[in-house]
Amino acid sequence: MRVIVVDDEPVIADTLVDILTGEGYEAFTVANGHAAIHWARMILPDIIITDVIMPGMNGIETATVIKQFLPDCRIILFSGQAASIDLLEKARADGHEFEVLAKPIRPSELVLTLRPPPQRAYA
Amino acid sequence: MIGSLEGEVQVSNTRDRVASSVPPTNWPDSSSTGHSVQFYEDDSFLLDGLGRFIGAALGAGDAAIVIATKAHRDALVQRLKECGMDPSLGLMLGRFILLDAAETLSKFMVDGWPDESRFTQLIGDLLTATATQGKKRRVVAFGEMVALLWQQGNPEASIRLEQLWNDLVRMHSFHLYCAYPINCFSQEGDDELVQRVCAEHSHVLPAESYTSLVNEEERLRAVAFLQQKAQALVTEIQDRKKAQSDLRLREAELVDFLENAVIGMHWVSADGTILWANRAELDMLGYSRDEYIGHHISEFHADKAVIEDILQRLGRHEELHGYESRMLRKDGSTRYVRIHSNVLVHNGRFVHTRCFTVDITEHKQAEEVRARLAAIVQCSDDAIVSKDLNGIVTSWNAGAERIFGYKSEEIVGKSITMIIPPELQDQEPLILAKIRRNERIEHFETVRLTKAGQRIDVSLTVSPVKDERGAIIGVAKIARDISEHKKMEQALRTTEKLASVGRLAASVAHEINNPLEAVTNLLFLAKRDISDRSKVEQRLDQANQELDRVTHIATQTLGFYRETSSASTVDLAKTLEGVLGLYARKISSRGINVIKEYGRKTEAKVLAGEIRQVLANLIANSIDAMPNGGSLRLRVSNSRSRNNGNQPGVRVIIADTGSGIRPESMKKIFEPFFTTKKDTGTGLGLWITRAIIEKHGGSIRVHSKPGISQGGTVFSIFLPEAGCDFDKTATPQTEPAERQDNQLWLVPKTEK
Repeated sequence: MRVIVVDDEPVIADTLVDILTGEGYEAFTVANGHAAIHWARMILPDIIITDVIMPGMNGIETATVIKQFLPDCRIILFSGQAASIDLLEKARADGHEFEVLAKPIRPSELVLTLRPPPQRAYA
Repeated sequence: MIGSLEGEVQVSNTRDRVASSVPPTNWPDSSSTGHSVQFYEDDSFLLDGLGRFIGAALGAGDAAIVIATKAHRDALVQRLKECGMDPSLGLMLGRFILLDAAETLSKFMVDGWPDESRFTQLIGDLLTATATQGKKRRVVAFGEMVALLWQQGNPEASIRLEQLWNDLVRMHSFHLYCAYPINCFSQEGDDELVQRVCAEHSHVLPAESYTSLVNEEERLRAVAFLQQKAQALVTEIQDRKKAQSDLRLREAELVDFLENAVIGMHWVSADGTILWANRAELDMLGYSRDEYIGHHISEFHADKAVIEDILQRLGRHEELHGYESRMLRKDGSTRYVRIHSNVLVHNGRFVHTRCFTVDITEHKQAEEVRARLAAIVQCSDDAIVSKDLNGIVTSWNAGAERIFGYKSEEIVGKSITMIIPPELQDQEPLILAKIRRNERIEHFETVRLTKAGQRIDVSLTVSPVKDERGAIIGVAKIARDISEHKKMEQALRTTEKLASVGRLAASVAHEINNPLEAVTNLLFLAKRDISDRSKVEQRLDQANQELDRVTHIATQTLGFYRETSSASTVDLAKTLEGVLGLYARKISSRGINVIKEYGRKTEAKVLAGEIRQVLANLIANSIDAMPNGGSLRLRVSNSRSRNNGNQPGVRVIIADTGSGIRPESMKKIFEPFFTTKKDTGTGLGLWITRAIIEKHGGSIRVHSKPGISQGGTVFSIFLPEAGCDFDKTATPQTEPAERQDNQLWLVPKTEK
């Protein structure tokens, strides 16, 4: 399983990669949305965990773009603040539904969340 | 025979003195030729003389022709009979001829003028026939046709007839005797006619009052008496003339007065017909005299019932005072009038009304406007109040009663200070002074007291009331109850406060959740890699740093509110010096030139820790704004508040020559979490700074000009010397904003 972690906080990004690697994931980290899109095209990840509020492109915009060329990729928004709720509302109004995880989350819970295959309805 | 006639002479009053039983001696001799004229006052006098004259002629065997009125003819015959004569014989013989004056006259008068040939023929033939009746005799004649003409108002014809008689007298040699009642000549100016009549006669016999006098002495006395009487009459005539002239003048003045009076007047007959109207009345209604006078008054009234009532009342001889009605103008418009009228009654008979019509249209219209305005004022929700220049209430509308609880009668005549709270009594003289300077006060928000003692927020608009000449005579005041509005504002502010707390919470969440996520991960990894000591240590160090971040944020946001240290008197210049020391290395490394201007008496009672935080924050901002050096000017001075009653205090000014604040950012700098320093700023510094200053009852303002070379920012803080009661909710102060061309002063929003 290939995972890209997108976060402008290097400590969070680095520790997550370390944790996920330890759980057997093939994890990579990038610091912003543009880099995430670039690397997603390159390595075709199964999962993307992205911060929402970031300088430049925010997490929702990033997720929306990646969804277009990687429809099967599981994208999880990882947010630490209420402001992101407004952004999610807007994305929902535009027809995009994303999984959301709230910071902080215990690593064991995160791992559990990642483990089951994504429940997606195929039309 | 003659003597028996004398008893019948009727003389009266003044004539008694000269009356005498002796017969007059001046009667013409009937045997002579001539033309005598007798003036007489009384018929009996004429008939006495005539009787003697005719009687003598007949007695002497002469012929007599009498042309007289029937009354005179009958009386003459009676006289002659009483004298023992029988005139019937003479009549029978044609020696005595009696003719009717009017009838005879009609035989020769043509178009009011005696026709000479007809007259000569008629009378001449008569004379000839009479004179030759039987044998030739002398003839005497008496004629009254001239008197008749005179009495008919044709004196010229009368004189002409006298002349025609004269011609006959010359032709036929007889004596003609004619007579005029003296009252034919009673008019002034008749003297000339009397002279002309006399000129046509050979003998003039005055009226009996003179003629009847006996001797020369009495006649002279009578002349003197008559002269005196004539003089008295002349005088009386002059007086009368004067009086008449005065009367005419007076009448003309009265007519002019009525005609040109400014009030409409008219007379109306009992049946309602207009008999007379003056110019003012015609002008008021726009009719000409003919279009108005002669018409029925009700044609000109708009309300028929009203004019009928007026006429009925006047018909009962009532007097009308100020009866209001509407009259119709010729142009179709109506005029409001007030009618005063009564009736001229003569011998119980209604002669005409005396109506005075006053046009009150303008007055009525003004009254309507006034009434409309009064109604607007009365039903206004706002309190509309007028007072004089001493602040005494002169009017008080329903809105004022509702808002302040005082009834109009409770407060009119009393001072407006009744509704001003004790601590705001100073306002009234200031307001009145402004009004006296002809200035308006608009939407002045203040507090007033109701009758129940409740304080209410009001917005006042006060303006001067002027008379026609522009002199200020009073004050009009509109007060709007803004208590509800204030409450809503307060609620809104609370909502805003809650929202800002919400925003704070959201930001705090972001600032805290990220480090917490990091710490959680680091602890997970430390536990996972517990056997690798160096790795664990590295993870725990990182976790410590993340926790420091959390602590820092918590201190900055929440710590401020937990400050409990008590206020103390602090020298702000020294505090500033201390803060400056913390940044000494940074200042020197950037090459920033610090200019210090510390005045004396710079102590104020403050919460030292918080003020240190404020100064540190502002200095740090200034240093950040000058990465490539510049000047930092620090001024601490004893000062006074610009907006709070000259309250003494200390002003700290921190000015830099840095990059300045962009105008679009200016609005937000005191908002929480607004920052232009992406990596290093929390966006809480100025927000907290403002909160602290407000808590101290001070004020803060900023002036900034963005730009690389000429930019800069000036923060000015004022702190009251005495501090304030920090336990109570502080009343923050805002200083009035000043705006200059290229300067932008921003005054933070304050909360009351």
